[in-house]
Amino acid sequence: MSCHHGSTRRTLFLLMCCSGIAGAARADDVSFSRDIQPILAKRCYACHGPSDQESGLALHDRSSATTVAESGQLAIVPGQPGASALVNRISSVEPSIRMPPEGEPLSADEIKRFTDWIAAGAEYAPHWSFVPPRRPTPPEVRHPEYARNPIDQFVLEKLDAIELAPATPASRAKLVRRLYLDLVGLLPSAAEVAEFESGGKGYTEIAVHLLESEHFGERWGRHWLDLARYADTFGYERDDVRPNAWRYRDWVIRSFNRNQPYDQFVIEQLAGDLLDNPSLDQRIATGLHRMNIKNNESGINKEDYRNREMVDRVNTTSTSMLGLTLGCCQCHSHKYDPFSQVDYYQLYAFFNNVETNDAEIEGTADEQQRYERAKTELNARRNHLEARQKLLTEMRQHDSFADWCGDDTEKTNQLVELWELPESIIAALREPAANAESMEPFWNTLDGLEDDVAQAKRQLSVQERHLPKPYIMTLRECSSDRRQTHVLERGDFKSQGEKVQATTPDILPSLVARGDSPDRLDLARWIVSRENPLSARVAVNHIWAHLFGRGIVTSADDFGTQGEPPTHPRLLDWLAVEFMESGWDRKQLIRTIVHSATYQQSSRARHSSDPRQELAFGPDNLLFARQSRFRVESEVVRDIFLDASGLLHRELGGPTMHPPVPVSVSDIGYKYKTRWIVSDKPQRYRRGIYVHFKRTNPYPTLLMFDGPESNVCQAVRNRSNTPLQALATLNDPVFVECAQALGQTLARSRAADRDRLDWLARRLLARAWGPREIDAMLQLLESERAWYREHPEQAKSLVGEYVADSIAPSETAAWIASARTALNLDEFVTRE
Amino acid sequence: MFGNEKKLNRRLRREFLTTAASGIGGVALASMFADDAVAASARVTAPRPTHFPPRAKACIFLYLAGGPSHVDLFDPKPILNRRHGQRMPDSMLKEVEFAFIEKDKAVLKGSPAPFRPRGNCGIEYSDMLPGIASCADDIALIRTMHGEQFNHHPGQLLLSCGKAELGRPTIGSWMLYGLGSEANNLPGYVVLTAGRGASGGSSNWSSGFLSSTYQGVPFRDRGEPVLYLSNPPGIQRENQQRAIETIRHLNEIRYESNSDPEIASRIAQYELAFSMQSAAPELTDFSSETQATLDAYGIGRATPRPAADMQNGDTYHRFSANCLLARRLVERGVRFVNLVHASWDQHDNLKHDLDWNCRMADQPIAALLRDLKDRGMLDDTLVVWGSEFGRTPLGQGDDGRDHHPIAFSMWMAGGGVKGGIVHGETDDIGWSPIQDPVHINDFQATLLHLFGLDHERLTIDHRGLDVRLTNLGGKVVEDVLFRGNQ
Repeated sequence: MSCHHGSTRRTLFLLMCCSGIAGAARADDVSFSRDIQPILAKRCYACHGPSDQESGLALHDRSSATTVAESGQLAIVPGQPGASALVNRISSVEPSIRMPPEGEPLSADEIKRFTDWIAAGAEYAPHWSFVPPRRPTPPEVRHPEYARNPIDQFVLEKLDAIELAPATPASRAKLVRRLYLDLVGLLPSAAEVAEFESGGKGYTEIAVHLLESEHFGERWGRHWLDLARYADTFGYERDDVRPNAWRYRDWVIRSFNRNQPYDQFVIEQLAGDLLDNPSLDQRIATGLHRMNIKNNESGINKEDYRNREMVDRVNTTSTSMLGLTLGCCQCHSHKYDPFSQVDYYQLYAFFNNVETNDAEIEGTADEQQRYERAKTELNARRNHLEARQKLLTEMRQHDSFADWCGDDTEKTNQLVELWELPESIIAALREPAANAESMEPFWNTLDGLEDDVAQAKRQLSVQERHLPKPYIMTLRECSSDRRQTHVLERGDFKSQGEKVQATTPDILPSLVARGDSPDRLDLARWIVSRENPLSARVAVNHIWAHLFGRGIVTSADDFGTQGEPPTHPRLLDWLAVEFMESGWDRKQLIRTIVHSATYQQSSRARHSSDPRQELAFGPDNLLFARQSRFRVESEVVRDIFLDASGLLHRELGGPTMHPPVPVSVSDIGYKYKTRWIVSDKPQRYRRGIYVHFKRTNPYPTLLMFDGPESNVCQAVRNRSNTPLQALATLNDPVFVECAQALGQTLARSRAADRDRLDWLARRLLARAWGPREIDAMLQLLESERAWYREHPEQAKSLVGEYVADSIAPSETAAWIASARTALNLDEFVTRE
Repeated sequence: MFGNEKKLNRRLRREFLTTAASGIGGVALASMFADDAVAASARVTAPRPTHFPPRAKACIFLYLAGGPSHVDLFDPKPILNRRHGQRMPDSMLKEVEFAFIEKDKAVLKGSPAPFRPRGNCGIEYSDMLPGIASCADDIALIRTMHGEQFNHHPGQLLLSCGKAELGRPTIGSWMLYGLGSEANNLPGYVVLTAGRGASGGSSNWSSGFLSSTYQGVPFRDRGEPVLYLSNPPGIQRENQQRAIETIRHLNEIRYESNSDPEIASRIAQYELAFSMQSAAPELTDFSSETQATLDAYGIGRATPRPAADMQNGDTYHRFSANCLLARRLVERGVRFVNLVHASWDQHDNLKHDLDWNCRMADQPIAALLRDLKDRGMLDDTLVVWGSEFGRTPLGQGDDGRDHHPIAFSMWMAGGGVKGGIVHGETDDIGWSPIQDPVHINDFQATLLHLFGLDHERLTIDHRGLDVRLTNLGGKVVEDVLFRGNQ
């Protein structure tokens, strides 16, 4: 959980100390960025740092720290800890003298680190993440036979230091299930598992197959959408539907599927509109910065909310692509990191001239035409239905056909025009005398006709809503009335301070602009330049996190001094350089990682009586001494339930869909015009990524399993474990239907109970039951069979529409109950 | 049964949620751990020690979203009435922003409602809330609430999260995080809505960046009280029991070979889910209440037409039922009940709509206060009346008022609050505070204080910042704290 990061840092430090590895603090080897800066940042910078300099002392700046301060003292005298006021103050026992003045005094170990560092010359080095990565040489390891590629050498090096062997490899079956869940978010079929187990298919073959699968883009695109705060509505009170937001989502999916290089991926999203002759796709990519929440409430101050959108764009860009949390600089210079408020508004200036009134681009001419045609057709149908409705309402006010029509041929003509009536009735209508009598059967069907009209109108509404409007929200630069950007004092949009121009933060490599006034394209190219120390590290860290359950930097959204240091810094750098040199090839990087022995280890918990090793076995898995075991993400919970049941509809992309929700859920919120209309089959069985995301009332199971609220950029998801999740997978009609479909399949089989249950285990868990497990499942099946035989009505209720022909409902019900139980096992929703 | 109990790490203890006292697997679960104390302390939301002794144990937050008019309900202004129809000086309007009012046309609007002194304290309340007014001696009325947000959703976020920013935990999440819960078979943070929900939707009970363990669980007053609480058709309690026993058994086998504490936690969540399935329907079953109680709350009463909340349903009954449910939830150890009703946003039709709302809210809220008092629960149950802002003393159109965050009224009762007092004073027309202003963050600090929590110490390290409910502000309003024989 994100709120416990602090403890990771402490444990990591402990681990480094007692293992004597990872360059722990020996007197001659103190690292400023690893040993000193974190303490300065946490304990000193608030008063003596980039934003505040009490007594004129700035400890982040070597020249200030080594010059005589207002007190007349020298904080740091390089090479002479005894003469350094800093050492005296931090080690003083006198509370009025001791620094820091608040909180616990520094520990003896921390004081020693300062002493050693000053003795060694008090060299300042920039924070690790602000120094560009260089390719490290993979280290020699004690057991090279464990290593499949350089990743393993970096991991083994740390295990060697505490005399720990890596975990055993995962079983082949578990490995293939892991690979499926990680790469495509779906289950391997029982046959695929068997083929891999028997050696019929190789690991590489499967990995390549999955990387080339179109579901790869759905799985990995969804990770990016967390950062992109993707949603289908604007948020805030009105929370209107954002037109065609899904076009951006589909662009992301396609980008992953066609393995678009990451640098291009970044450039097109930030500045696709500024490329030469941008394609429609490149402009759609800029939808990234139209995904922000937007207030359409009446009576708002427009400039206030425009400012908030700009702030969100700066924060999202810096968090997702640079791993920086600059949000605080909106109001004041960063207390800990070397970013000033001016830096912040210089980044803000890149975005300050994008159109924010609903500047929409039009689709292709072809799309326009299709839209107009479809709209005309739907309008005609609506008019037709309205006319029918009007006529029916009129007829309703009469007791009989004769009473309504009398001799009025105009009315009968209307009838003939509006309905496709059988010839016999048309003929009868032309014979006025015969009208009354022969039309009574028709008159008796009025109820049905009204229902038909109502249903047709409902269908029409859905079609109208899904009519792909050829508009897409993208970025576009204002061509006139361009805004001058100012620092906003305390972040207040009304308090304009000094003027600033668009440029990048001082501490990072300088921007190379194409012209005099740098624009978003320059910014994007700067982000993905080889010199940028952050971008590649941040990107590979995200990818690593999705394959191991945590990043090498656990605070994936904060690579600054307040974030967690990398547990494997050289591994991170190796991956980052490898990534850039491969041409920012994401699939290649994933392929390299999943081929490492580190990835293929078992995730089983490990234990040891050696305290150094025991630390490595903690829940944070600090040394990757095993794979991680975690509950799959919210969308994947849905996807594998549908997949296991056979209901999954695998259509790729397109407009959002609305799975069934209880009325009590669809009723929440202010505006009823966006009421939840459940999608037809098979649309409603699509993957979680396609569920319509309404910000003020998100689809409940997505949030219940820690899906993002999508209001701001989110780099790490929580993993909670709650009773509401249990209720959902047991009782939510969507999940129950999966059990019904799966139960029906099982009931139809003619195999022995034991064999059917065995198939179930292989389908759900990619393994066979153990002896005690199969006994428990058989016992459950027998109990349910007996019970449903005695309760045939209950059996029918449970079976519902999922009747298996020529099989007794009690039999099908028993299988559904068993399938429902198996779908609720911890192991089913867990990636091991 | 489990060979490596001693090796369960601290995380297991922290995260393992036991239901040892209840649920079908209670005995089996308890036996998984030699040390019951360890198991008991392992509940994620187990009660936690406070910073100092608490006065309140539970909070019922009556969230009347939209901005009820303070000058018509809680803050009598005879001078405003006398100046009805007059313009305000331009100097006062200069720095102010409105959602809808056009400044050059704006004139003051007197209140149609008579006020009179109530209770022994003699504090004046509007005749539109006679029931609540009859509890005046138990209420600490704050007339100088203020915030900066003059639009609904940002204002609601300020009130719920301490800052007008999405993605932060709401008050109930902070309380659950800081205090845990004493409810064994129910969630610790429950949301009740009647009529139209607040415009901010679920962001008003979100856990923000905290785990979803701490989010408010909406109890629904129609259909099943908790989402997916009912078994599907054809699954009876005995089938469910067999399913959960089998799930537990198989999960235990997996735990033996894997010893991942998450499995133990999963087992516990299924047990709790199962016990909630019986506890929650029992909670919403009012058959054990006396007819006198039901009548006092107004259960089953009719909803007058036309409805001010744009609902064509039974909002009056639902609001009454929610007030009664709130008491029953608190009785069962629930920490925080957020009772939400929107539609206090009277830009027009104020006379009818405000009256309609008051008739809905007044009787059940008064009944709730008296009921809690009669049962001896008011001492440690804090009841709050609150909204994101009040309404302008200026009129909007013929019969409306605009949003007004500069000054408005909220009140607290019970839970260690001094009754029968007014805190703060606004100017002659109810425009701005002239004495003892209370910012929304101050109110939140006070609320936490009553629960034994120091708002400056209840922090979470999020993205390098120590985030707290009261954002950068917050000062406890000492004046409203009961200092009697503690």
